[in-house]
Amino acid sequence: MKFNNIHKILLLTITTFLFVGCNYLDETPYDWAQPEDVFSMEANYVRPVNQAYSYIRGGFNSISGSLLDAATDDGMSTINSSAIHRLSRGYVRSNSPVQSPWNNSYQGIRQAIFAQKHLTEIELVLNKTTPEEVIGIKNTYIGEMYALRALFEFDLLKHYGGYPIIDKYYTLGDPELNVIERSSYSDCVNHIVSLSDSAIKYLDVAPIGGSGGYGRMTKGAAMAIKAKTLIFSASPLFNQSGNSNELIGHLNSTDEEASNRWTLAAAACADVINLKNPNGSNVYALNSSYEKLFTTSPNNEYIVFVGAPKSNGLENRQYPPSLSNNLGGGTVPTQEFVDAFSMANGAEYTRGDLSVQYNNRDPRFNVIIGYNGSTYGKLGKIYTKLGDGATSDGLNAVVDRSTNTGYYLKKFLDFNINFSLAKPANTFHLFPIIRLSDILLLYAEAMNEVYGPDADPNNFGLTAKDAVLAVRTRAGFKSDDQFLNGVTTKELMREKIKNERRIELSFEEQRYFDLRRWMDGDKLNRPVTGIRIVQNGNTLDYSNFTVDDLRKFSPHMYLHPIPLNEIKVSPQIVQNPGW
Amino acid sequence: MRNIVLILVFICCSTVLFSQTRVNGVVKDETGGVLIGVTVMQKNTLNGTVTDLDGHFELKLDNTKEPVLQLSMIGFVTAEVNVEGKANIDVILKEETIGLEEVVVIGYGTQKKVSVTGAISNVTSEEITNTPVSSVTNSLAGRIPGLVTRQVSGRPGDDGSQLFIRGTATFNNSEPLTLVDGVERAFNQINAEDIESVSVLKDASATAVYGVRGANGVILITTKRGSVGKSKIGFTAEYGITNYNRLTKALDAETTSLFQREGTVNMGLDPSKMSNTSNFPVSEYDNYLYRTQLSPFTHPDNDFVETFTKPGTQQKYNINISGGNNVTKYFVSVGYFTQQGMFESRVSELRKRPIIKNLLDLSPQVDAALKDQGYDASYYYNRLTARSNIDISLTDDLKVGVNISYLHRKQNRPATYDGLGSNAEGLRLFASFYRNAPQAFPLMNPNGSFAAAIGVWRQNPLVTIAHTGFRSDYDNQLETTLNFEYDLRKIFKGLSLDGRYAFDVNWSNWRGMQQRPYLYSYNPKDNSYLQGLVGVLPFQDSGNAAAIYDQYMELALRYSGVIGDVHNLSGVLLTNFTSTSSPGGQYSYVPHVYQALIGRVNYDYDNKYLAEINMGYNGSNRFAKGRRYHLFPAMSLGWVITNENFMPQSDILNFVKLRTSLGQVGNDRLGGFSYYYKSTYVNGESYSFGETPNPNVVGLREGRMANENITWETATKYNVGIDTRWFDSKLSFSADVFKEQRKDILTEPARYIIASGVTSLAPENLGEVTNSGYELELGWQSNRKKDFNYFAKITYSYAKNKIIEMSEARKPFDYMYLTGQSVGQFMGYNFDGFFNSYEEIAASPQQFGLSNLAPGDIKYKDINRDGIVDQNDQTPIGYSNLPERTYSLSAGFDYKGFDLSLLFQGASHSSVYMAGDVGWDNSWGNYFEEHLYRWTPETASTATYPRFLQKSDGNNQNYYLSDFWLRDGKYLRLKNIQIGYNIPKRAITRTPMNSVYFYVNAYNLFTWDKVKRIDPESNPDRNVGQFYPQQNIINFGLKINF
Repeated sequence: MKFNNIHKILLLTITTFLFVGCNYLDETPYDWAQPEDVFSMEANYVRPVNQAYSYIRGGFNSISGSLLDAATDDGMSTINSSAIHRLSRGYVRSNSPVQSPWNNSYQGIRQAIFAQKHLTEIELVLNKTTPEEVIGIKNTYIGEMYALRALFEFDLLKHYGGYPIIDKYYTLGDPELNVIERSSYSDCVNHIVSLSDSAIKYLDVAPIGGSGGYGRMTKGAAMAIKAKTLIFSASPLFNQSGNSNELIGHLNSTDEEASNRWTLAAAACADVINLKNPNGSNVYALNSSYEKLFTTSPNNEYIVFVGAPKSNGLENRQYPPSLSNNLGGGTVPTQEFVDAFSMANGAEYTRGDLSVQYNNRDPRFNVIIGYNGSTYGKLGKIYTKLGDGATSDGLNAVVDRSTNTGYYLKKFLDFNINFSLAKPANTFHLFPIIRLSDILLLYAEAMNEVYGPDADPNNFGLTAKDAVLAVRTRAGFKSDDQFLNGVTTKELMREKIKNERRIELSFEEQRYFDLRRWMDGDKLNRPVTGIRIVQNGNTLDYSNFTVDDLRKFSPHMYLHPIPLNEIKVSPQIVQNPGW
Repeated sequence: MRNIVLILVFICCSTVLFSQTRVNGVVKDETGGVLIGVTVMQKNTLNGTVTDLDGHFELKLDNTKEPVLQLSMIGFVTAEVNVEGKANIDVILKEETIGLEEVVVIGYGTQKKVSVTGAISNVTSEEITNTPVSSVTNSLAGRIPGLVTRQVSGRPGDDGSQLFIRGTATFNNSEPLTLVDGVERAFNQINAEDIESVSVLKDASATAVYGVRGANGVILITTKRGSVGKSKIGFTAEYGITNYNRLTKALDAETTSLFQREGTVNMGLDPSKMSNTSNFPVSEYDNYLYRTQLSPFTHPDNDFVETFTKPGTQQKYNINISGGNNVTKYFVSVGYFTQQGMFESRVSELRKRPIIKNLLDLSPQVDAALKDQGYDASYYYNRLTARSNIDISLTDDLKVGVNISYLHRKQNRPATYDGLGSNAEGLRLFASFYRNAPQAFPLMNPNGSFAAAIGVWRQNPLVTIAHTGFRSDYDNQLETTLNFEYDLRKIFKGLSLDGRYAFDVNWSNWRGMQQRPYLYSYNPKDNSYLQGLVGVLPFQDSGNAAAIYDQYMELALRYSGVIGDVHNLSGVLLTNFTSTSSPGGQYSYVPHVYQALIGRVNYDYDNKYLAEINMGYNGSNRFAKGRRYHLFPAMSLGWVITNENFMPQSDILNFVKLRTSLGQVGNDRLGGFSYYYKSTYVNGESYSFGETPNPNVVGLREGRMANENITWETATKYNVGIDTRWFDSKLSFSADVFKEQRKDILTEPARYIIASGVTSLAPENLGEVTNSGYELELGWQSNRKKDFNYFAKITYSYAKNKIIEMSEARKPFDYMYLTGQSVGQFMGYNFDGFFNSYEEIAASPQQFGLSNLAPGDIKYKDINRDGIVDQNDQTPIGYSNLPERTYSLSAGFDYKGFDLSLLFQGASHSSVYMAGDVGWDNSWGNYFEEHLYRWTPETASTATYPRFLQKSDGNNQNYYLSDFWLRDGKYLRLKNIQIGYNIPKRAITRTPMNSVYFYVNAYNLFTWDKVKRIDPESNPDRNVGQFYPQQNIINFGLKINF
């Protein structure tokens, strides 16, 4: 009897032990929010939407302290270790791209699709808002996401040509992920256009949230992205006759097809220029001052831009060292760029007596170029000369911080920021991605390619020349501007427009891509020069010298390399030629 | 009638017993030598004595109990002698054949060493306690073949070694599982005097029972328990002096000035501008002032190491009492350890240091300002440990045990400039010794304010040590275990049931005080002061961490028996449950829970053929439903050749055992995060909208994508071993060869399409690593003699791993892959000498597209011969930082009460990355001796260091990670030495003391290595100087047993 009891106890203990425990493993984590929690809750549902904006690329000094334009004939970085030099000198590999929007754009695309998907699927109740109004709000945010996706895809198109189109919210392990491949250039253009059209449908000309939403995507922003995309689509790089690689441009494009593309592009630009507010006024207008444009917020010349809080980091980086807090220099203009400015009366500048080269130039010259003796507003004059009276702003005076071309870049800077004060001020530095000047000049370019300099057969309201002159007039040119005098042919006009873009949109990450789409790569394949000024007593000796003779450009650099990882992981993703 | 018989018997017996009340005797060993200190006990009583100096004993017997004596002594087989009818006996104790009766602790049980077939090594308490360290992990160094130890820090209370069993075979956590008395617990801070034995389980056969957590090997600590006999009291007191192993002085101020100037000129910059020379002047006149020290406020020459360090001290006291009878056995112990750091933090002492004294003499303001702040900001560590292990026999068959252990720790240190944060290393105190030029700043300004240099305001160690406040951290740990053992012989002979329940709790808190003086930089030109850091008024703060609770339950059914004389069969069936909660991080409220069913069967045939099957069926809630349980099986075989009939009994070859094992074990320690099968959503960036940008709403984005298929790592392990003993078992030799294949290692998948837009993927079970090697152990132990014994032991271990798969991002060239190399292999550029001329630069492969190279710069090899050195020219360089080979030599003797033992320990085939403050010139203005041999045009042919630059930083090509900056990490050190003297018994016979032992021992006394500037075991991550240097210890001790 006794033994039986023990048997029973034994059996009971072991079995209970085994079974009681089972429940413990079923504990699951509960202290973390899931999408259902976020998208159904006031104040939180907008967070994933806002997050998508943070993937907008571009901005000041985004490439290890330098502006992208330091990789063009316009600029040079004073920072010896900056990766920008690898870009301008051709030391780029598919596994070490200096300039690659691939990761960022695709993360942005996924975030936008993530937000769209959950805005659509998850029910949201808002305080003091009817269900119809909730749908309206959701649709606006969905429209913003379409516009952002168009922007991200345009960024990819600019860099790589055709890219893999992602239209879906993939979950991990989705077999479709493993067979992603690049779409043709034409399909990508069409996709961006259709994304933009969706955005245009959902969005209003004014941002949601009124002035508090300045910087959000609007109808005009979506139209501008579409217009720029169509301009690229019409540009020479992507319309090479005899091209048989559908990934890098339109297949075997004819002159007629190219012309049709310019026609579409011109119309899309005109749509932006002529976009009206409900009260009938133009949505976009040129700011009255070119100088104040870049530090004014809000201004209705900006269409797409990178929002940022007030700051003074740009001044710290770009001021000459004597004015900077602890940096200085940064990206500085080259002599080539200085030479590109016209005279004040619009006449072309030709090199002569170097000591007078800074006199009587384009009104924008003193806004953009800091040269020896140039005035920095209330901060006073700066000197880049060597010899008597040399300062830390002098040519190569302080490594990494003083100019290495003899010039400093004044554009974008606010001279109210004074680092010698205990509290240097802050200012807005909204980096323009698309602004009205850009669209006007693109309009001029497209109109000129189709109709020549002086025709407006579709009654858009402006001829190519009108558009260019609108930009120059705002810049401060007077009625004596001879810039377009005698320009009668498409070819002459094209050169004028190219030069105008170079000056007006300088250091705004435009020329890097303009030179590529125009196939003007030879400009990137030559040394850049600077000015050396030496003071001896009262005399100043001026001489030009080579700043960087390692500049290199080969035809395969018209497009960027697809990241090596993608090629290696998915062999069906084809690399661009030459990489 | 019955009563009469009983009475008669009683009378007879009592008369018989009465006449035998006293028993006398002498105990000798087999060679005829008398044995002193043999415990003589009457069986099943507390009645006992100890043999005296002549081996003689005398005992009064308890007449009511069996007249049987038990005679026992360590190293001898316990003898039982029936003394019925004898008044005088001579007993000869047989020396224990080494290992034959020795029992080792194995997973969930114990086993006779001779029948073990897995790879298990163990250490005795003696070897552990003769190393004078606070953390037991440090005393394991060199003791166990196959155990790699790496002590990365010397911070009091935080100086334990990292442990690796047979190296590493994973990119994840490779820490072994550690158990104390059968329950998963840390043993880092356990009192070494409480430890009975340490077992290290290495192969699958030994660890399969730990299933999902056994793959990294297992360390079992068993604490001491009481045994039947007279109460014994042990007392230990130790006093030690500690000193840093390595702390390099920067070069003096004048040399530093010359070098600064050289670097600045090399860069084409103007050395007369202080902004170009780390903010101190470097002219000829300045050098004169540095040399003569005529103006210490403007031109100091600080020797930080000399000024701010002192030898530290440590003390250790321990008392333990043990004993027991048939009902109760007990072991109770209390220990106290304290260690004082190596900083001089007493202002009164600092004022005597020459550099500070000089300032005091020169300026009455300084004299008045440098005051003791009244608090203790020194580094110190106090530890109180208490343990009580009680065993109670409730009946003949049922025993219960109650074990309680308590640990209290206090760590004290200065506060940091930034506040009272918990990041003690953020102090960078030692970094400030390494990185600052001697003339960077005077310690105090002539007006009595505290000084610092512009731009490096946080660097003045005088402020940190004497004027910043302090922080104390308290930690409490209470561990309780209840266990029972029920002998079920009444059901079935050999059957038993046992179980245990453990509840551990840990709680910690801190308090501190912070303050900070204003810091100024003195400008002698206009006698002005520039204000740097703003001062902070004293304030106090405190905090506490959420308590950690761990629970453990276990129930086991065991059998052990002999069937038909030759079939020895034993087995265990065990189930357990573990729940641990650790605060912090996502999902921290949900405990980690494990469940397991464990089984083991041992069989041996006549002690010749051994077989063992182990299995652990484990469940873990770290994985998604349906993927939580897994079976880990292992088996092993052994063959004791010397027990075969065909083997002749021989004095030369005493014992040979061949053994082999294979099996699978798992590792579920996949990094800090637990729930990889759930997606996370995290706060993203804020973006500015509006005219007045308003980043109030922080973005939200996907965090890590879920991987529902996640599971544990699985290790398949093979082991072949041999144990032999020769020459009367004096010589022993063991060898093990192993191979491990670790699969399903959790790895961040690098090979995914970026175009998917996924920012962070949950790790997947993609990695695979193989690890193989061998261990050798050769020992000599003299026969146990009265006067003279000696021993020597050599161990040598080799473990090399190789990454088979790690989902590495694709590389353009095969040599760029880490896959195929060892875990942690350094990758970098290949040093190809220094450029000696511009012609050489022009003729060499372009280096990174840089245009500012000059002679004296480092030249790197163009591995792919494409004419450009760039990131595609990085290859494996050196080794990893974990040594592939470790070895040790221990030896010792005792002679008439004197004894000496030594342990040399070493490691090789590892690399140490010397960078930042400790490796580079002029990291913050500092230079070291090796920088004397830099490249200059004159010394081009003999230079061993590149030309100086204005400042060293990782962006300059000379400082890229290359083999130039790797040091061979091999070292040999005298890890431990102990000299002791046992006072002759004769001298203490009239005292209650049984033995008195004096000793001196030392830790890390000498080190031979190539790293020099820092300890070769230093953690490379700390090479920026954020570390507390490892210490050497000289220690004096006294042990008394009552």
